[in-house]
Amino acid sequence: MTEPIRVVLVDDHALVRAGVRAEIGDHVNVVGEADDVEGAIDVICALKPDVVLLDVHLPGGDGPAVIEGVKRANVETCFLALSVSDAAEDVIAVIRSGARGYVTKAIDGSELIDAITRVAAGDAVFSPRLAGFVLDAFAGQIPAAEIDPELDQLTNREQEVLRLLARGYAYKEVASRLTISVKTVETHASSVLRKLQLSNRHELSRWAAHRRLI
Amino acid sequence: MSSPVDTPSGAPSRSGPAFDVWQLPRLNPEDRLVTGTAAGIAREVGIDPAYVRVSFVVLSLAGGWGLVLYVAAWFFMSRRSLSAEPYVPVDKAVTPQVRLIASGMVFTGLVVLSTVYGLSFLGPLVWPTVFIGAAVAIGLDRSRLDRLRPLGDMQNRTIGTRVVLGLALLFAGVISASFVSLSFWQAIGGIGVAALVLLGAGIVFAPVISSLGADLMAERRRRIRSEERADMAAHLHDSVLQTLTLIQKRSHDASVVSLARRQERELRTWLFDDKAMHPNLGFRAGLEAAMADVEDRYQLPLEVVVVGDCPTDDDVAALLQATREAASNAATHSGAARIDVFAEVGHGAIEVFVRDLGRGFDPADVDTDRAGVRDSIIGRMERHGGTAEVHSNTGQGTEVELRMPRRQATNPDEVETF
Repeated sequence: MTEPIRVVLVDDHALVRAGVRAEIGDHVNVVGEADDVEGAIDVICALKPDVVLLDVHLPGGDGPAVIEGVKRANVETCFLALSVSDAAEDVIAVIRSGARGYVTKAIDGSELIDAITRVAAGDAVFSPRLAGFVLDAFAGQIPAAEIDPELDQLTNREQEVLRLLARGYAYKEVASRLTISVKTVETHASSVLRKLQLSNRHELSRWAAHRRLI
Repeated sequence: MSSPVDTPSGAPSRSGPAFDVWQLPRLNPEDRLVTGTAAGIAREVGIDPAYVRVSFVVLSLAGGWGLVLYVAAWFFMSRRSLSAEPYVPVDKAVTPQVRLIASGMVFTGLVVLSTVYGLSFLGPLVWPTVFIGAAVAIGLDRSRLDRLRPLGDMQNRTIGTRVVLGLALLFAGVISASFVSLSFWQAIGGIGVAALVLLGAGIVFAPVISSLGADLMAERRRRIRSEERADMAAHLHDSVLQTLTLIQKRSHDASVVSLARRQERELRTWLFDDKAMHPNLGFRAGLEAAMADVEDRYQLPLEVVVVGDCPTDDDVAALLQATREAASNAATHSGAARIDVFAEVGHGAIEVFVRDLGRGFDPADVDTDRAGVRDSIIGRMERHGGTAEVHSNTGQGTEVELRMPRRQATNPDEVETF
């Protein structure tokens, strides 16, 4: 790590921001903070950080609103969702808008730094919980994340990877268990995220077809 | 909101068929002479069908009213089977006797109108008939619609407007009827009789009106409650949950951390629990409860991830027991800082993995002192047709894999029905 990763914290609780900052501040460069959707978009567009730690629930809209706003401004950055929320729909919604991963706030400092580093490198970060949510989403259990059954099914390998991640395996352990390289595990994880995000447009057309709009 | 705890348990029982409070009188095909209409009315009022039939005949002779009433009643009465469910009178104040008297008033009124005042249905009474017909249609059609869908989107004002409109039409009809080719005094008398008819009809239909009101009130209360709950959930989520998480991270006192964790879990269950909406879900809830218990007992965080769900039966209960045992073992022996529990409900089987990164052990060393594993995990699983495997290496943690095939008797698709 030659240059510390530049991070923006978005959370509506000063206390939480202070806590997170205290935990990761020595290893990454926390360049800015925001406590609502508008503020977050402004700060992110102005500072162009490497990684945004994004709370799922925010005043003035939720996590997805921030991601959409930053996308519209054509600013390139990576989002890592960080939340106490257990509601699967909310988490899946943030991932679908483009977040590269989801960790719970109970995560400890070193794990969080690891996750930030991974997201900054363009990888996907799957906590066991997120892996479970995603499996549920593809199984049609989370209504907010309808997925086209034909176009966006997970491959068997991707499901295997997700299951191991949900069982608490680290990428390295998944790799050795499946006798593939860590890079391949990362590729599978990223492709799962992409499928989840792509299925947005199928969902829309399906919604329209259901109601005989088209 | 003084006792928020009882809200989740109270809410689900009120949903569903509760809207179906008042039911239209049902046709009675068992005792029918022609269509079962008279028999149905007789059953509703609690008298012998013969009286109803005679009334219809008399009213038919008296200017054709009976015929009109009969057809209207046949049209509007429910086709639902009598044995479908017992009839539950909503308004206890309207006893069968009162209904009988009220029906008598309508009957007598109509006979008097038609004979004394000569108001034949088939006479110059097209307009009055249209008015009255419209009023009856508005009144009955409404209650009929309400049986088809919940009252939720029907505004209080709409109902009020309809009732007033209906009554006005009814009154206009009767009054205009009275003035057709009648002298002033005759008309006044007619209005008096008409008022009697209206009063009788009012009593007959009182249960409809009062049950509409009761439904509406109940529905509104439900809505207010759920809104309040959503507000409160948002608030608690933003404040208390965050604080509890922070306490867990910043406190170095194990008992404080454990307390905060338990509070957080309880609050979270209350906030995000969707069990109320899916009463069929048993495995997920059972597993989460069992793991919460282990977490409390050993003061160790468990990361529980569940995919899918299914109802609980004996096999599933055994699986839950075995999982609890495996998690307890891991908490007691592994020395790991965290235990991962992953469960997946597939079409063919339920799989559970309990994993720790603790000190592990050499499976070859497993002897009599680990009887807990053999009996309470492996033995229990095998008795119910499942399998259990323990993978462990000294220094590399332990993973227990439990697999319980699902009985084919349970519908394999139910996990996808919601």
